[in-house]
Amino acid sequence: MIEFRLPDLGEGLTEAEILDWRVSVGDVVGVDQIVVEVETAKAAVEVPIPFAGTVARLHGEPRSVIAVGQPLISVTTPDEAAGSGNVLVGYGPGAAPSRRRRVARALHPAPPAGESPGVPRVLSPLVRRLAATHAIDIRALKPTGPGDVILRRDVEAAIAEGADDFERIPLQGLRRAIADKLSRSRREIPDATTWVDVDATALVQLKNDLAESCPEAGIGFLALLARICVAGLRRYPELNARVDLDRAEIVRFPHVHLGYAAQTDRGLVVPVIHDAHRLTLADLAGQLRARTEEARQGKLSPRHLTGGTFTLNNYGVFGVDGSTPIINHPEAALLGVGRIIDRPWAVDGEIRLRKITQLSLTFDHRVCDGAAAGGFLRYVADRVERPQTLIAHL
Amino acid sequence: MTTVDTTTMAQALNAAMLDAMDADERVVVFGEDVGALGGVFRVTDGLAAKFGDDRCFDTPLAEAGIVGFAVGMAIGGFRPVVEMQFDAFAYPAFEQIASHVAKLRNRTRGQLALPLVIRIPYAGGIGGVEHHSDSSEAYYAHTPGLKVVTPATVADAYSLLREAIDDPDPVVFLEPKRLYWTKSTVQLPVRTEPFGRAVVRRPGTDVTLVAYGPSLPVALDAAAAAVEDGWSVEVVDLRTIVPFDDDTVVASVRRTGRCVVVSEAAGFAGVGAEIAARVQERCFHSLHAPVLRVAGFDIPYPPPMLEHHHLPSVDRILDAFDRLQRDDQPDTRFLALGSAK
Amino acid sequence: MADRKHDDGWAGLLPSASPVRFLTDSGTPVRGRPAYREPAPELLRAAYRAMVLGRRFDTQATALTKQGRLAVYPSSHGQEACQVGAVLALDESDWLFPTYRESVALVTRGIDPVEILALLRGDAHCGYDPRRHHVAPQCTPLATQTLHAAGLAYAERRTGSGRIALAFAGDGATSEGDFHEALNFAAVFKAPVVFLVQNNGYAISVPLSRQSTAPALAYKGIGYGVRAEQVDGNDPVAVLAVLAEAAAHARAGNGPFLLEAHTYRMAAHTNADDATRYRSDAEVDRWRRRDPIARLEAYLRRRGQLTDEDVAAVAAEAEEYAARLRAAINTDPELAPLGLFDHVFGAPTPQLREQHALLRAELQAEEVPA
Repeated sequence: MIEFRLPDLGEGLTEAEILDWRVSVGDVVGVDQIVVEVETAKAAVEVPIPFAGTVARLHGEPRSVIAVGQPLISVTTPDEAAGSGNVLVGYGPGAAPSRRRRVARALHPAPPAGESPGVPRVLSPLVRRLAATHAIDIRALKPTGPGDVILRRDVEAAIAEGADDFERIPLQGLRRAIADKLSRSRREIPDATTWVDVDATALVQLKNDLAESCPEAGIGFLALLARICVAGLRRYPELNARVDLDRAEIVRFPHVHLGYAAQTDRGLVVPVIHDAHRLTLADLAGQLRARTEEARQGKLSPRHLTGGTFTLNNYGVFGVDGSTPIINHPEAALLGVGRIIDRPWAVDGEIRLRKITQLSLTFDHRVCDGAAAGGFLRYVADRVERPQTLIAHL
Repeated sequence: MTTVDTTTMAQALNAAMLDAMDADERVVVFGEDVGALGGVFRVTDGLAAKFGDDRCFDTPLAEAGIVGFAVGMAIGGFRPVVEMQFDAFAYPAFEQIASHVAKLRNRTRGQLALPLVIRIPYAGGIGGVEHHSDSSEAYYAHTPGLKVVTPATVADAYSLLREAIDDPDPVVFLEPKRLYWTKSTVQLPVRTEPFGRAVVRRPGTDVTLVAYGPSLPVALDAAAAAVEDGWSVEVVDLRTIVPFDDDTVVASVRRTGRCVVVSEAAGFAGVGAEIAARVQERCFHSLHAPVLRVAGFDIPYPPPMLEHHHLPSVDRILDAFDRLQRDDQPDTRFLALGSAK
Repeated sequence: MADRKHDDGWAGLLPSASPVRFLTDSGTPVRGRPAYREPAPELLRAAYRAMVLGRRFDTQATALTKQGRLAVYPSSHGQEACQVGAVLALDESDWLFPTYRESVALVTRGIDPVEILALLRGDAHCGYDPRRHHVAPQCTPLATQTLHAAGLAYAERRTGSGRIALAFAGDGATSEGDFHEALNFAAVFKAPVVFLVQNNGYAISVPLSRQSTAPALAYKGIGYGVRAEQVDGNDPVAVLAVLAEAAAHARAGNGPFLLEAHTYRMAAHTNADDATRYRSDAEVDRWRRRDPIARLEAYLRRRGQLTDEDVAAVAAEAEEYAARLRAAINTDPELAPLGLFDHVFGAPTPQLREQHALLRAELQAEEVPA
């Protein structure tokens, strides 16, 4: 609180009579504001207050006399109101700005690169340790940070690359999807493979005959195999199924949606021919041609990529005989066919060169036992060796 | 006497001395203008009236005299609490402080201990003319044998001063004068954490901001302002420079991985430098970025109209945060140092 | 005039038993002639003018502080005889070593008032050029300047310049160790320095009785073998008379002189101090009746050396001075923050250059609109 005392208003004044207050208690007053009119021996004088504040007390009623030097009016200053108090030696604590004023950052010039002798500069001790833990030699790293500072990402990249020189191909996209499906198949399906060598001479002869008599049908080896598989699945429906673990059921399909492996530029694709059991051999051949062309162009529709109940894989085109095929999950069986080559074979008690191929059947052993699987394979093998038997159940 | 009230730091210090004098008649308060005037900041207000001239009294104008006299009185069984009127005016007493107050226990192998307190209003930010705003804490912190205590809150002012008066060792009790009028609602008497214990005033996860005394408010302001920039700032109030709480500071920096020390004293060879060195040494393996200091410039304290350029500000602390290597961005300030000119 | 006190050996070093005065409280001549030569009328008229001007400056500075244009102002209201006497008794090339309460002395010396007030306004630690005016920067720590004065005076003696120094100190400052050391050094080295102790009765709130039990502060001189005197500090005639003798003593190679001037600090320590806490209004009133300006005016008027016209002219001049000061202080000073790094050393260190660059970058960043 500051007391303003009655100043000497001039000429040796000793006292003055208060005539009229111009402010009241509680008023806010400013510097040099007239607060009171007093009467001296000579005249009525208006008195200004030399500081600002809020009026706390008026030291006298109108008509009372105040001596020079006595308190006239008391005010509390804004300083006190804010709680800063009078400071003996200075302006007092100001209100420092507490939010950011500057918008622009003061940037430092980027130092010239390539001039850093001594210990290689690394972003932080943590990053340096990261490198050491992974046996990365930081001297061998190319720093990407300003001032040749090795950044965390530089070290992480080096770790990712590894210290070896293996070619690394990312497992992603279609390749990733196929890998996942194959892994799942092996993981979930307790599969067993059984195989048999067959004399396909008759089938090859049939193909040639058909090519001559019905060239427009375009019936190839794969189409014939497909037709035989369909017949086999009618005879052994156990293999046209899948296992539903959620419901603990084996689901047998009334239809055959036949998938077959097709190798494209983008990888292995399995087009599906829906309702293959309804198609004639010529139809099958036509479908095979169409789907294969679509596959090559990457234009297979989703419908023709899904829903298969059995898969046929002619890997003989690779020049191999047998395999342990991987079931096309969630199907229950896959028939693989190897190359057809001349081999010595027993014919009517003599060794003749015949067209021999190996058939490999992999099956989900949960859907059937060896008898059914073997039965199916034998059935197919018999049709391959004596295709004329197909006509009995045409 | 228990009161719950809105109290200023000056009032809390006053209450601490009053309660200490009540509790122990050996406690005496003396210095320049502490008697009838109650101190130039009113911190000793009413003590002479309540306890009489023998317990709270004015001395001749001589700082070396005050401290040396206190040494003698302490040897004679009293517990003096003396006041140096301002930071820079304590310098005449420095010989007594460094050569005797700090060393007497050690020189006499514990026979002559000095349970005295030297209260010093320090630091700036009050618009004061020269010699009234010095940050002299480094001189005392660097003198082994002195405890150096600096409260930043009203409750700590009471508690730490009570503890200082009870402490068998000499305590240089640095009162941030710009905080004398800060108010808080406290229940007195109060005991907060003891000497040697720093306190996390604001928890955070990204960076530890270490502060003490007059810098605590600006540290808290900076922490609040930094939220906008995506920083969660933990503010640690040291409270006592000597003894220093390594554990709390280290635990914090090991959690956050980043540390900024703020201190308004000139940066070179200041207390901030000691803190930074300790943190670097103890937390090296946890650090994402260099340990930074935001300090005053290495100049004599400026005139009042220019002091705000010198004192650590919210902006300057936020600028330090920008250098903390977030997102793999190195601090570039010193990379060019030493390269071809 | 022969300095008969000096001839009496060590007893001649002792001060007069009571303060030397030429005037009564009401400005009439005292009975009996003091053993000092009365100053010439021209000097007394000059002193009157300087005191009126000084007081008007002091009042104006006090008002400006209340208006927040100055950070603080330690008033020397009531001490004008000492403030003015110290300057008028010395040559313009003699060195002054003022404290923060010597603004009026500096005004009397002719330094621009805005330069004087820079310290208290807060735009610079010292607003004037010490070498130009032979006035050291106003000193806030107590008594430290007394040593500086002793050293400077000794240097002047060594170079044979004929200049002397005058150090101001208050009653409180005589308790500081530096005061003791300054007197001792000055005596041992025969430094031509006058120590003017304005005993205004208080060191902020601490009264003289708590400061010292010496019979008078002037008696501190004998301990060092320093000639001393005590004077009525509110009697401008006496102050000028004794200071003339003190200056002559020093200039003649007789070493230091300690003068205690009994005066009174009519205002509080600064505008922020509340003097009612430690002294009574009655005491203040008693001293008001010994006002130095009133006493000198009465004395000069009685001798026909000051007329109504003179008084009016001086008052008008003082008003004009105050008005110019108001206008100047009410203009904001030009501040140069980057100048903070100049003059820390003769040339900045690399670290200071670095910090200069940081502040410059900050200031430039602030100029960018948001």
